Amino acid sequence: MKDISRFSPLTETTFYILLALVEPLHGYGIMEKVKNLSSNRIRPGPGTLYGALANLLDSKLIVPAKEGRENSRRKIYRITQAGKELLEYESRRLEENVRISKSVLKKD
Amino acid sequence: MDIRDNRTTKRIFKLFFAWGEEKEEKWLEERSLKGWHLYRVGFLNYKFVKGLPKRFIYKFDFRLFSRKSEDEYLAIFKDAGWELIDIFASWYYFRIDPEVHGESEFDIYNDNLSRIKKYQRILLFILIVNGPALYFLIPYLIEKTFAAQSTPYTVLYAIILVLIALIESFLIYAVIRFIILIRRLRNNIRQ
Repeated sequence: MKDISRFSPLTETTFYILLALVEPLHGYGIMEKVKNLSSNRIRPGPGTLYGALANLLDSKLIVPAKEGRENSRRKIYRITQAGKELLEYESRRLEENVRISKSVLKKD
Repeated sequence: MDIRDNRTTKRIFKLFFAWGEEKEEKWLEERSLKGWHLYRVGFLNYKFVKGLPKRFIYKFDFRLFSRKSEDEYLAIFKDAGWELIDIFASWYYFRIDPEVHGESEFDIYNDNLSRIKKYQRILLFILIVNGPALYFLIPYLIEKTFAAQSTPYTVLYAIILVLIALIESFLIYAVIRFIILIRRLRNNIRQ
């Protein structure tokens, strides 16, 4: 397995899309879930979502889920093991950012 | 949609420059407020159908696709409330009804990185289609113009050369406009 950090940092939208896919979802399901997870702060546009899904598929961070076949019009996606590793890597990176910024801001 | 049946339609000829698409999208929105709704896009022209004045928001996307990916792409747009109006020369024309979808702002892209990628696709397309013209056709025509033995042929080659040079100059201008757009988006600190 190559170093997962080469995909970091993800854009905020891509981060949340990947996070949403810890359960299998189709495009619209992802949009709704990202809105909910981010308290409506991030609302993926369909153009951005489509592009992000294509990139995540190319990088094998998500795969089409098998359940998708029964419904031909909508593809269903789910996260891969590599995708999960990337999420954990990103969480640690963001945590570090929070920790550092808090300690710097406290000094002022 | 069968809005075309027995309804007044009108065609408007208009130059559309893709680097000024926001203005174009606004213009279409204003047309729909007057009851003229876009339903067909052609070369330098739009077709409108007369209906009730109603606000629609228009957005254009640029994509080069295989059929299979296009289905998924269109399904995602449809689910998000965007109605496909027409496809013309790899441009996808969408509209949304802002009353049905109660958002404060409507866009098919929500971050600058994906907006930049769209303009990069357009740039790549221009270069692939016109690269050969710039590198082979123009030098070939210059050579032909000077090598031609009889005056009519010299004139003919010269005319073709000037026409192609004009088209290419326009495309170089377009490339510069897109590079400026990409730079502006890139310099925006917000991702």
